Amino acid sequence: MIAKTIGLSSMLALGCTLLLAPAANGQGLMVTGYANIEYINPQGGTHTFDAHNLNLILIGKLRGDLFAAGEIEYEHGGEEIALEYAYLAFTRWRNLNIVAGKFIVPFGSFNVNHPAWINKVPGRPFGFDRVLPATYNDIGVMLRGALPAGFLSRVTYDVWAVNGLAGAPGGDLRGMRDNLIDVDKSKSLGGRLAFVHRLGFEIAASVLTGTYNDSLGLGVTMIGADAAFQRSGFEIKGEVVQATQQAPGGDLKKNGFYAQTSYLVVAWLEPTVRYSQMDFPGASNRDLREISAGVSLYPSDIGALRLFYRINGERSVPEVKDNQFIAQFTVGF
Amino acid sequence: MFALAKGSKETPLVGLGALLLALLVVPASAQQQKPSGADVWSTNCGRCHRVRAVDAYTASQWESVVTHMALTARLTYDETQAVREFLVGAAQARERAASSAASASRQPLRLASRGNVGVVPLDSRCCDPTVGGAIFKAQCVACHGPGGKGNGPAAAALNPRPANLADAARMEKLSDDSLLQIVTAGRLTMPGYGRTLTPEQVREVVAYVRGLKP
Repeated sequence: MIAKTIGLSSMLALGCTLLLAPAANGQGLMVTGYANIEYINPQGGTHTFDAHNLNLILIGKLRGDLFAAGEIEYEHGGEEIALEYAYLAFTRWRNLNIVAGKFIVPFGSFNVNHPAWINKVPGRPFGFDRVLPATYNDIGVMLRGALPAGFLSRVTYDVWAVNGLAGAPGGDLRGMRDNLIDVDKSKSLGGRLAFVHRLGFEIAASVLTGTYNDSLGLGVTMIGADAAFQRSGFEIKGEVVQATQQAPGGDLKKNGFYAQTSYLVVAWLEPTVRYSQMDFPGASNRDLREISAGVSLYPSDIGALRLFYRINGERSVPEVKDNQFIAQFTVGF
Repeated sequence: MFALAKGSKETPLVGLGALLLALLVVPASAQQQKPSGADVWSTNCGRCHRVRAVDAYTASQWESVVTHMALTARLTYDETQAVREFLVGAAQARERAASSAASASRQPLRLASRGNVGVVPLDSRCCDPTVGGAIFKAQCVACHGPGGKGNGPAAAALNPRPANLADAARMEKLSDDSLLQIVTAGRLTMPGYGRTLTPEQVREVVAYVRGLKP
């Protein structure tokens, strides 16, 4: 019922926008985007170049307060082509924006801030790979906004209703994305509530719940928290997520966590360290650890060359040796 | 019918719903004093990515970028309006200055005696340090720092870094006309203030900057 109410009222508001908003030609329609090229040398594996992604983003105002954005992603030299997002946003009210279409689900921080030119460490942290399956985008409606909470500080919120994950009982959550035309009657509902302070810290909590297998009535619920602090070139942030996935044999718990810190020594040099882990109690081969350490070199404000060594730890027998050296050149244009 | 996962935690969702209702009924008068665009820009844009130079886009492009980023960063309405005015306005001022310069180059004799269009030169009647200081504090401190040394809270995210305005050797190389033009139209990562400030206010702040000590 909640999902239906959000969905129908949002669609109605968007429809009214199209009818009532003053006509205006597209303002500032522009193509932007980012690209990411890597050289990966894994321990005991084959080293390779990877044209990891080239993402083209089209943004622009359509009519009045109606804004549109879309992103097409070419991955691995064109091996995969996908629509990362394509949405309409209605931005008329002070404290409320309505987004409809395909959007990146704003659970936590990393899922939204995953692009390589923003993410200061190459690759996804464990926990945002197989627990929350970043990049997780979905189709539906989202209400988003902010309210002042002191000078230059604010409380922000996101509430969304989407098709949700769909897949086999007890299956890998990552493989449950792309439920573009919903295979069942159930929708997924979620939200994120955050406090952003002008001194540089942000703290937030997220929740996501829905049915992933309608025939057996199996659901998945995720809860998460993220926090960050930035000041004078120093940054520390972390995020935790826990998924409770119902399965025929009992609930599966999937936990993920990462912490990351960096310091902009000079305008062109930023060392960064990240630790991440993922625990699947009862499934030991999914208990993974990672430490990535390296530097980002910034030749300009749009590009970065990142040189990192990633130490992977996997609790399995025999132990997997897959540490990696990664050189990544990324541009946000 | 919407189906929550069995055993899911509905309490957070109810809380979010209640918050949403509260946000919708908060009257505008109950909200905070309006922030400056420079403050919003310096405290928010560097949270996720390297801060873009203010001359990276045209005014119409900044309009779309600001809408996109304000939505993504979940800025408040007033913050969005302030940073839009700051970046779009600066780009418009820059475009006007470029247009005027092009026009001046076509008509050098008629405009030569007026100096740069939109810039009021310093003269003996200028200026009041309290006025310039107040403008500096509101518009410049975020990047240049309270002493003008280029060490404001936003400085770390900027490449190139903000200029050290208290560096006497550096400032001696810049004429008053150059400073007036930079403040009006912007340069590198610094936005122009030709739309935000009147020519007289630009003059006041330049005079204040001239008085900064190392």
